[in-house]
Amino acid sequence: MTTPLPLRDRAALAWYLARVRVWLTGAPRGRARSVVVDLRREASATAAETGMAAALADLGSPRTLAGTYVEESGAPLGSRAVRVVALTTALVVGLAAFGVWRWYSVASTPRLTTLGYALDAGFSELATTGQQVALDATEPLTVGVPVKNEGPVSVTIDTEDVELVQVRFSTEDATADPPSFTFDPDNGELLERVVLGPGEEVDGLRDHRPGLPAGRRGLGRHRRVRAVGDGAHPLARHHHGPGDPPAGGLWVREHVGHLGGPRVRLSRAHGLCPVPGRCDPWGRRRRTDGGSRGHADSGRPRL
Amino acid sequence: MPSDARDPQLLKGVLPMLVLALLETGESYGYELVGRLDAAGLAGISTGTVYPVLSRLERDGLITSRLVASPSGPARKYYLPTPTGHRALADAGREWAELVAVVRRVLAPDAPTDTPDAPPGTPEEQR
Repeated sequence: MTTPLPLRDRAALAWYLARVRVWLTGAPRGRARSVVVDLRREASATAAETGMAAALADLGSPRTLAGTYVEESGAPLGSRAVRVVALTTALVVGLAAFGVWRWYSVASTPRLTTLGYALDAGFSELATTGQQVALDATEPLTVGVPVKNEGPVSVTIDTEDVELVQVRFSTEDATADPPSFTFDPDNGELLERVVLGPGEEVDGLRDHRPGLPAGRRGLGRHRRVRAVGDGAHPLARHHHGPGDPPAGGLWVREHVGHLGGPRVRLSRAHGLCPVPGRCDPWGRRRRTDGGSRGHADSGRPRL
Repeated sequence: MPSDARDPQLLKGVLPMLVLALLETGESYGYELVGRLDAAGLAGISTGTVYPVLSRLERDGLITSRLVASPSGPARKYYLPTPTGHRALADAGREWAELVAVVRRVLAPDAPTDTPDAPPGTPEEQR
């Protein structure tokens, strides 16, 4: 009468055969199944005489045993097994990384309700300083970021398929000192410095795709523009809905050509400045000799 | 020669022939073959070495198998050489004898030439 194997022996055998099966992926499927069936039967029968531990120990390492079978079948040893393990690991790690990134994106986007305004193709308040807003849009849109008197701010726009990025600075306070902003592209060069007079508006356009028609300057894919304002002026009023932006404020206008929207991050820059009012627009302390990093001589006053 | 000092590559080439030779003398299963090899002086051979050899010999049609119920455990797979296996064993025996003769001449060129070892053929041939 055949005595069934104890549960522990069955578990040990199943675990061993599972590992053998992994390393048998280099053999034809039917052959691998036949090998595992034979091994299960022979190991079970041997275990009845010697015990399962001895039977499995006599079989040796699952990888070595499977490699011997694969070698006998003429297939390269473990090539598919390595590939399967590597791909599975990469897939798991990739999914985990994507999950973390997605969770972080959602968790760090505190004002998703503003997306509704943004998709109206008008100017909308996106965020106040210190917050990050992620936009997804399939239609061209224009978004505005009001800059209140909250100190220097930094606006970073990560773009994908963006045809045009327009950053507008304006002030409504004719008596205030003109605000000043500086553009900083990805490569760190200082391309343009904008200083506004009272009541003036200026659009700062960055052109990274010279092939576009005039007035249709684009950034291409995955480019980043950074603008920093000194924030020393009472500038913006909150404004929602379509239409021209109100006087005063820092506005970012984006035309999104395809799927995938810009990511706008508005953050305080003055946190970098230990002495408010004595730092450059990047939040760094102004040098006492009046020098500044790479400012182009545009005829406009230096910051 | 101690079994633990044996070059596995040497054994790898002759193990199928030895398994076939043992099966010529009697139907057997994998675990029993390990014991028979051990009794013949090849200590250290494991089932993990013999099973793949049996699998390949069966796939190549040199041996055939049948399941025999065991009174104490699962059924065992017993193996016997096929006619093709008989011929393959005879051929392998001759090639082995030729190889041994060559190896002996190379290792001891001054030794008098003697008759090569008798090849392990089928029982009928040996008779």
